Amino acid sequence: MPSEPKLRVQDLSAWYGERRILDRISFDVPATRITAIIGPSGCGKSTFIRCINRMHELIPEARVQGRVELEGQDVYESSVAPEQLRRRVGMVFQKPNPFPTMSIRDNVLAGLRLTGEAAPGGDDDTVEQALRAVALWDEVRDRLRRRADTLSAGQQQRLCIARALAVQPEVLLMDEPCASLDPIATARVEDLLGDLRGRYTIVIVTHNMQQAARVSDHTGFFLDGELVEFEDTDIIFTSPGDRRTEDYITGKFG
Amino acid sequence: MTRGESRRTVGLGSLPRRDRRGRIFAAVCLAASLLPVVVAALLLGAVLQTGAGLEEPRVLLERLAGSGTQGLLGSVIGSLWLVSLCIVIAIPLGVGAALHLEGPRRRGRSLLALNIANLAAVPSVLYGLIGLELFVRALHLGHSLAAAALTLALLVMPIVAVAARSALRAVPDELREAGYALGATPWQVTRQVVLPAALPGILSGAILAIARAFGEAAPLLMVSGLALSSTPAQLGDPQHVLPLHVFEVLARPGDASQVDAIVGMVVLLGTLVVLSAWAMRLRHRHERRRDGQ
Amino acid sequence: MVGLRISAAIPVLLTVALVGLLLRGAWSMGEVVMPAAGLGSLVLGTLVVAGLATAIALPIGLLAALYLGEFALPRRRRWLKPALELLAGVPTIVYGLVAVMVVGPLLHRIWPSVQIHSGLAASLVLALMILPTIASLSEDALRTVPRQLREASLALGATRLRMLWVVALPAARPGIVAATMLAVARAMGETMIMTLAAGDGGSIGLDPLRAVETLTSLQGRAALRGLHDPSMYTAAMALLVLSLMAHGIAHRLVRRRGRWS
Repeated sequence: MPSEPKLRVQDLSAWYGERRILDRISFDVPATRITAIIGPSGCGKSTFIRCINRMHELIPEARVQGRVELEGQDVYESSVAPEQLRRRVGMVFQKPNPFPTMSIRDNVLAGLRLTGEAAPGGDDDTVEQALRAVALWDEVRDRLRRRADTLSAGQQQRLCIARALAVQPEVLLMDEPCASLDPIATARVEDLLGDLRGRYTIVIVTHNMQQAARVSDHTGFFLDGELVEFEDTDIIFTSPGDRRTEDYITGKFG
Repeated sequence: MTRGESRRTVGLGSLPRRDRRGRIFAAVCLAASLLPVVVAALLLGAVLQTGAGLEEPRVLLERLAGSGTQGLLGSVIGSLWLVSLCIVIAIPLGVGAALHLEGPRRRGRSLLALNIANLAAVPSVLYGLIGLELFVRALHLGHSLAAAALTLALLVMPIVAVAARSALRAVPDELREAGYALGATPWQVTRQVVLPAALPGILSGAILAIARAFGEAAPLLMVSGLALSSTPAQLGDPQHVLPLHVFEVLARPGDASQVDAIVGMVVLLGTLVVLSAWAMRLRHRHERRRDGQ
Repeated sequence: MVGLRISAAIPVLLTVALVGLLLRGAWSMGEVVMPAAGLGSLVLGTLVVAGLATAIALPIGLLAALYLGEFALPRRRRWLKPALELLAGVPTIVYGLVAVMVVGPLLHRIWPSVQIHSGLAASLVLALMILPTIASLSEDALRTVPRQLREASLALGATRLRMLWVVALPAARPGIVAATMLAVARAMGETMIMTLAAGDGGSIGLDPLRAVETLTSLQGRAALRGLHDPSMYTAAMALLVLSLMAHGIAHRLVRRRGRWS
């Protein structure tokens, strides 16, 4: 069991204009484990992970307060460039968003190309490694030059994960990655998460409780911008400490 | 007959009477919308008939090819040169202005948009005067191809800018987000993600700009020193472009026969049709691709 | 990024430059040079020709807009609208050619009192040129009339025609007027057609049956004669003022509601 948390969130609050979305969130994200964030819609889950890689501040009226530490360093410190942060903390979105004008191969390499970095170990190796990591290599190895939008939604999402992985981040943030996928594609992505565990620190936002229970080691329950409870997944789903958590899990609301 | 009674006795019989008026009206509207197309076709036919024997494309081509570099053919080549130069200047300017407008909020942005709108309000002949004062005289470019190209570039730049702007707007935010999430700076995202995605729209704007530049004559009247050409036109003279050539034939009937003007007109129209069709096809393909995702 | 700022600044510079240059050109030897024919008659000539063209194009264009927006089947609309847009893109020199070679002589043959180079011929051709603009923009205006308005009137038992006449057209009126203003501006600014149709020294009167000298034809003929005539700047300034006025009216009509109706 790793000792040092990869991410440490302290009193994180976030606003969109006058509206407060997050209220003093504090907890630790353990390294190389999968942490799930669950809660009813509108509870601030997506905003939360967007605060981790400083994507929230791209919205014109957004405001953030508090600390988010990546291995001890506050990511909101003025000396930290957001672009550098996002190389270490990658993100996968709800709707697959491969770059439509690029080929499959170029999509995987996009993270490196965009920032002008050379692929460590060469382009072809990087592409193959990333695609193998998401179990897509065998399916697309013969059509790497084809455009990315010729893939199915499930394949596109796995491609987006590969694209994020090719940059070799330490943390992977996933914002409801299976929300627009069918059950079979969802199952494949969940299997994939099992493979990535141990190498990456993963934070996955999901509205699907069963998915959280299947996939994650730790779970945090958000409600109305607050972190209600953060526990080992087994414990939170069998004997939750807070009454609200129990109500949500048993389906009394949400 | 009170309302109640008419409602009871109304059957299918009374409806067609009122419907007929609507139908006549619809027919009138149809006629109105077909009228310009029909009239244009008739006029075109009448013009072709005036230059007797020009109905066959082959004859037209022969006439065109045979006219030599001092005649019609030369002016077509001159037009190609001029338009190419103009477009090379106008596209970066137009796309640049569009990027500036679509970028982060800055003071003076609406002022810029207003000015672009104002420019569209300026009649094309006045661009000729600007070009005359600014490029020909103040910058000492003289009545040259460069001055003409710059003047035309000013004229068509708003066309490119407007098309580029709507193309940039149409790029979905998710693509930008994906770029940012990978750690790219805003400029990298713009250059490598947004611009390629907006390319079809920008391209169709460029094509419209080319079509416009090809046919414009009024600004060139001022900038290319028409009156000074007592000597026969050479290639590379700014006044030796197709729309001006047609104008000259009509305005100063001299040695050149009117048939030249007609052939020139056909070339102009043909170019317009080809370019418009191309721009439309680009637009359709882009829209279809976008909706299909 | 510097490049962006430069290219963005150009329209601003241009507007300023245009006004400045025109003033400088017109201010020759300490006074604004007036055209020989008198600025007033030139303006009048411009207005008459443009007005006549708009008077012809407006009703037809409006009916065409109604057809395209209300009655057209999608199949027909698919080729008709692009065809009209194509007409709008035809180089104006082509219209000029048509005016001089076909329309002028035709009119003269039918009514010998009409000269071959006449304001009437120019107006007819101008009308053809601005008609697609009026049709297209008016269609946009009609399209933004809210559905609720239309449905309310239809639900009361009105026929299509009545609904259009009583509800939709009045609601779209600002947009239609704006479209008309833009078309008028375009007609006023047209040079090639007017220079050709003005013939050899147009008349000073308002007689459209004869050649008419306009603000633009003055400039065109000045260009033909060697660009030495300072009064062309005066004419240009007047033209700019008229054009900006027309566009300003159109802009204000559209902006008041934020849409075309």
